[in-house]
Amino acid sequence: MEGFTTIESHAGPIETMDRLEAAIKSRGMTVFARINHASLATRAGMNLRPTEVIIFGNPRGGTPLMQAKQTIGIDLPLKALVWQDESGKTLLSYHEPRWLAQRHSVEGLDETIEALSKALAAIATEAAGGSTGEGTGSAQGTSASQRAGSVTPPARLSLISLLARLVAIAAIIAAIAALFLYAGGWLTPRALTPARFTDRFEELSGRHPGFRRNHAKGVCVSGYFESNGQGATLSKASIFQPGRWPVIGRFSLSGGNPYQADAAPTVRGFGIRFSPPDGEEWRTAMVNLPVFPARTPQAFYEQLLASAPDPATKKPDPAKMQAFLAKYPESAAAIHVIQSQPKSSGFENSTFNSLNAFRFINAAGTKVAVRWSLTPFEPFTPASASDPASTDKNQLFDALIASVHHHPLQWHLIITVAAPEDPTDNATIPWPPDRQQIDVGTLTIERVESDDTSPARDINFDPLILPNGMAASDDPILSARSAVYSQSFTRREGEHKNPSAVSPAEIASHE
Amino acid sequence: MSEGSSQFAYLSRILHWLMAAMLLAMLFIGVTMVASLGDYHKLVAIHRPLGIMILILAIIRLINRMFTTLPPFPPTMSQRERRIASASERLLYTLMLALPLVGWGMLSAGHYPIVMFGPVHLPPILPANPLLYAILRRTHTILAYLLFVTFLAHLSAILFHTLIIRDRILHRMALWSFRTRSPNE
Repeated sequence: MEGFTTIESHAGPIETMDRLEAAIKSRGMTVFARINHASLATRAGMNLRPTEVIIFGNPRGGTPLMQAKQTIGIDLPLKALVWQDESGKTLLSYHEPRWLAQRHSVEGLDETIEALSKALAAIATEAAGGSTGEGTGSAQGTSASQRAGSVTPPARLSLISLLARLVAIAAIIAAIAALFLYAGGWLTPRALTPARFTDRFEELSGRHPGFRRNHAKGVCVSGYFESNGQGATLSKASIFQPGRWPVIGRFSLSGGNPYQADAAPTVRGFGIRFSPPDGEEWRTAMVNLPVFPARTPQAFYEQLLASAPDPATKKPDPAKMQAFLAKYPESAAAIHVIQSQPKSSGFENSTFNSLNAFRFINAAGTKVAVRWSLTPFEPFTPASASDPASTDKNQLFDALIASVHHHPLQWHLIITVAAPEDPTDNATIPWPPDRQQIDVGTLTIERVESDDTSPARDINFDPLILPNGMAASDDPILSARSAVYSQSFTRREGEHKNPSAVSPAEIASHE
Repeated sequence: MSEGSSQFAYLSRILHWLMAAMLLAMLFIGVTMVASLGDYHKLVAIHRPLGIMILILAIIRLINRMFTTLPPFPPTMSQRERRIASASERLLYTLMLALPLVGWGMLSAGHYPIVMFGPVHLPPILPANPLLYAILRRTHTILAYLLFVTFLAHLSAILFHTLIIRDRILHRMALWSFRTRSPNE
């Protein structure tokens, strides 16, 4: 029948009609009447399968149609019929609004009629049980109505068009997934990532679960930093206000082996966390080298490869190191600077350097590039040229422990301010010695503790955990350090903790 | 039919698209930064405050969701498809609340300061503990992958409805209004 939509309901006739009424009312429309033809027939002594009509609508919806063409009033309010056919199926039928509009030649209200049509379809589908399983209302009931062209399902897609659309969907999803995989480094297995950097440390020193992947061997210390207020001219960080703030730190030797024997030439590290009272933190990880031997993460990675011990000789291959230095002349120059600086005898009289440049911002908003150092109160004594192969594998740490137990160890915190021409993105180059240096306060170390018992074991001395008033420079090493430290931290925190080389008992024995 | 019943409430639609952009950006920032050396620090500095913003918006969105009526499902969706859509909606809400909370908790457990911007930082919500950190760190990654996969499934379903079934399902979430008038009388 033209303009007459019928859909199948999944409920019985009475339930379908009840649901239809509820769906109509839930949309704020009025139900004017429900006329049950079947029960009227019974009363008249006649027989009719369930057949019930509902009359409903809303003046706000219908009036514009009648304003356009009054005669459409004969077909309003709207009606819907619920009926059971001879096979026992419950069906729901209604006039298509478009057909009503055509019948009365209503012009220029296409949008209204379209909306009306959709609303009716939605109401009908809701009443018909929404659609259990595959049998959606439109799919079932539409054979008749589609022929009449009254409902508005879009034209069927040709097979080609359907396939093209399916391919397009698959392509969009695959492209987004591929972009995600690319961003995560899965599609570029040769690119340098924090994980691959950390793998390299593990390859060089063997895997030592629970320990830092570099600077694995160490002891923890605590004390305080007494700021003299001079730093406030450079940075608004609260740590530089005059006052005394607690610090926790860790002295370490470079390398991934937590049980290596102490040796004077091994690079010494000092990680510190400053905790001013406002909840901000400053962490720094310094070493006793004047400059960093690599300008970029890639160069540092290649240096690790070049200095790896040869499996046969157990010593680095000099040819590989030569090739590395030829490729990275700035590293050769930096190593020359490092080697020309005399090494001190122990941790307690070492100067520690930030290596990388940072930016300080003061209260006026002025930014300066800086590097910093800790210079020891202890007098310099050179490392003895040939340490007789001492039986004490922890001789450097033991000397440090004995010193701290004897008296607190102190360092000046010296900020060096760059001149405009000094490089901030190249930690291989020392800044000239005549640069302005400001002593901003004194670091005092009062206690020493084993890695096994100190919270400092579980602190990542990420050099980019900076308070407001300090910021990273453009040095590419800084972000890489932050990334690789974080990777190492994540790996070790989930691992079983093994006792460290410098045990609590050993520390107590030096009291 | 009133406009509210064919489309989501206006605030719901705003929140949907705003958070869609933020969550997608967040997933890509997260996966990029973890594999990045040079941009790691900059990306982390965005990741943390953006995550907290998502948490705040997710709470607003959850409250909004509890107090608004949804438009009915389009008739083209089967009962089973509706159940899947509702379940995936619950999963997405859970993830967009859980991911920032796990991130915040993870930094707390890892002894990290939770820096937002400038001097603004948040307090820890969990005690510092290495194993707790490790578990939350792993959980954060797994939940992020789950969110990405759920997002892809959601997008696939919408594309399928839009390009194959062509039931204008997107109109429900469009930022502009589709003029739908009451079916009259």
